[in-house]
Amino acid sequence: MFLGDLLGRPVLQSGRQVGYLADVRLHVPDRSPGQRLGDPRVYGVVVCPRRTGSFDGYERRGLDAPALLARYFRWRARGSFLVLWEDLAHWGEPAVELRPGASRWSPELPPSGPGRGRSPQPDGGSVD
Amino acid sequence: MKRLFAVALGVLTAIGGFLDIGDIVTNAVVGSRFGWSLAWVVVLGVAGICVFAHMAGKVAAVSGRATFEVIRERLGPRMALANLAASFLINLLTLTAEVGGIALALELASSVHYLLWIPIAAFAVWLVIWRVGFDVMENVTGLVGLLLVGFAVALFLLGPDWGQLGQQALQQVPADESPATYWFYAVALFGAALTPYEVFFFSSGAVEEGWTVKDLAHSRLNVLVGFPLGGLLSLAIAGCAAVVLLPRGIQVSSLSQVLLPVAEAGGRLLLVAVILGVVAATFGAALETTLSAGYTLAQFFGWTWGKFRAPARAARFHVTMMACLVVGLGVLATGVDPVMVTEVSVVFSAAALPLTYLPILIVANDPDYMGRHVNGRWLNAAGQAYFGVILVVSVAAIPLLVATGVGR
Repeated sequence: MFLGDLLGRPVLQSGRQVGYLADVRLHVPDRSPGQRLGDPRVYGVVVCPRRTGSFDGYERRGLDAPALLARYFRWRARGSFLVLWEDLAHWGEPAVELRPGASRWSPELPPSGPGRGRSPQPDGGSVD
Repeated sequence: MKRLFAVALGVLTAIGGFLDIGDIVTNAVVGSRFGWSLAWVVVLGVAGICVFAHMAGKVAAVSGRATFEVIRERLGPRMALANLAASFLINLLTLTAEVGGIALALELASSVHYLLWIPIAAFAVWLVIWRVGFDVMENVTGLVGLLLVGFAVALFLLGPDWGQLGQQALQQVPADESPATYWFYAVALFGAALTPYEVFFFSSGAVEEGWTVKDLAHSRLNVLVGFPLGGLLSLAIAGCAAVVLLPRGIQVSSLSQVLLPVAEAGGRLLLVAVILGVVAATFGAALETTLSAGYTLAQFFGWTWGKFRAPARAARFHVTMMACLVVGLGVLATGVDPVMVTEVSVVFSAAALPLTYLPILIVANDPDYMGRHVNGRWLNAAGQAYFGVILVVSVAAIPLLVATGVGR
């Protein structure tokens, strides 16, 4: 399976459609055993209630310029959430399915610079 | 002293290099039909290209990435490919218009039919790209292009009624023209001032010349002084047409009509100077559009590019440019009127503008690329205001083109 095939697929939870798969999050460790560089690992997927597509970079926290565009891109991606890979029950055709008890995490990424690539923090509440 | 010379040279070539066949033809057409009543669009367009070129130059200098590298990285392959297709085709149209413009100007200088000049013009463009260094190419065409100042001289020699020109600038749609044609030419003038290739070339040129953060002040000066002065020449072209052609009901449909006021005001000497200026300006723009064709494709596909490399080291980049010149040559060989190609090209340029403008505006705000050189508050206010204008112009462009039958 190609990771790119997942993008745009409908996402279901308990038989109900909760959105579309908008993004896939990778973690690249500094090194993997026996390798000079780390192997990227998929740690989660971002689900958006609408077929929005890319967030155009505005998933990073603290990026709020130019103001009107940033607000528009955030508004377009409203209601999006991150689901960890282990919370996916099924990811083949025709849809991606979440486990009934899957946690919804904030889709925001930390700002650039130190601290990048940390594991996600809970957003402290469910979306919708 | 040497530094002062370099700064002056940069500003002068920015003025001389500002105008191309699109500006020359569109301003003359508009002047002959609407007088100075669309002068506000030139002002709006020039301020827009200042904002756009300044941001693109800054992104190139700070991040080392030219416009299409940014687009490819930021929009992802699919959106960027759609963007590439539109930008590349429109640039090809502009390239065709510029080569046609060189041939038309040479026809005026020699009385040899322009179709015979076209292969020579295209070959000369290729030869310069193949052999001549980037700096020499830019400086020579820019400085000789300064002869277009002849339009301003002509306007003063004509001794126009400035009050009447000023009145035209304040008045809206002239009585005998429909609002649709007025707005069509507003879009065309905006597209002529803000052509995407200018930005491809400007940002790629920054990489060719190895700009760094230290060169930002210099680049800002070139843009903020050179482009507005180039814009004044646009107004002079429209003014000449408004004074000589408008009262006699002559509508510009050929390059010779554009130059008629110059001949009337300044005689043969001024005419020769201006024709030389037109040859240099169109030749410079033909070089820039040809290079832009290579830049956009190579930057999208990640090929080695740049005039600073020997052609053998950037083979695909050079082959692209040759192929584009051949296609332009083929289009012109059908006998299609280069002036018509020009008018259509500026409108399509206006329609495609948001495709390249938006990624630059976004990346100019991205600290991952720009560090502490992200856009300030005022630049963002202007940048977003222009994005609004560009969107409206882009949506209106093609419907107006169809509705007015290319402004007829």
